[in-house]
Amino acid sequence: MLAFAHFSANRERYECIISDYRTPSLVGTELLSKVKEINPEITRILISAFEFEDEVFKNIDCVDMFLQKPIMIKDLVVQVQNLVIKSSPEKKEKLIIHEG
Amino acid sequence: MNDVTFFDSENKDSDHPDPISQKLLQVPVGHHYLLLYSDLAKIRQVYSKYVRMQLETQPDSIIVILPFYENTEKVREALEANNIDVKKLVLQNTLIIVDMLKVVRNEYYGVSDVERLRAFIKQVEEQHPDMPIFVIADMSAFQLLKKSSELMEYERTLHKDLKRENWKEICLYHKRDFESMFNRGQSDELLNYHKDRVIKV
Repeated sequence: MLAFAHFSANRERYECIISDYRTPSLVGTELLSKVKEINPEITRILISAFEFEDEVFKNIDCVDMFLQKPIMIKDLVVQVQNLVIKSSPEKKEKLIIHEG
Repeated sequence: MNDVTFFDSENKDSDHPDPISQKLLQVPVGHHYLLLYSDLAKIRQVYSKYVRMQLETQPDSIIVILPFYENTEKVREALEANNIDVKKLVLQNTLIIVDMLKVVRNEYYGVSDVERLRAFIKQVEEQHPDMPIFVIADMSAFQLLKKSSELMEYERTLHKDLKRENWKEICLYHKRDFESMFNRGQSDELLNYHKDRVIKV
């Protein structure tokens, strides 16, 4: 809920949202659906430590990519870069990812 | 929030029993407690210390842990960090760790989500009829399933289930899930119903 409130108030600053699936009060897929409703151009990544073979994930259209934890930060950075650039090549020059 | 017991569980020493673990240990069989938490690291400390003490007090017992916000491997790691021989207990079938979502989504039982939880625990009871069973179940899974009314009924009936004299259950709720699932009236009803059986970490 807090994350969504922050996103709603600062939506123009976001290029990509990464959400865990199991999150209190607002499940990751609900958050990403709401994000998509507000701005479908934003890249949305769902991340989880649990198996993705579940029925739940079969018909989800609010997510651009699923990632399984554990995932190394450097691998996550590559995935985010690729996905954001793929969705909008002109963002390549502007893309700055802060690590750590 | 009346009649709620508050504890500070900041103690990081794994050998030192904290007040919440002590409190859980003292819960009599046949009883059911609510444990509201907001910090996964803290609740991990609490349940792992409690399980260790429970096993030290009653070695011949069954421990069932049904986590939701951490996978079963994380639970095993937390228990092992408290010197619990997880591998041995799991092989003996006296320590059962299953993802709560797998339990309540198991279509095998062909009943409602809460009934699946009941059926799962009953199955454990039938396999070990003479051993006390201690269940730690993260009910936050029902927030994801949007089954708060079913859950409300489950919570209302637990204390009436007098057949379970050899059993106790600690129901975990992430505080934000508890607030999302139940409106003010429902949460007041649940907290009043459980009275001194509510612990907030």
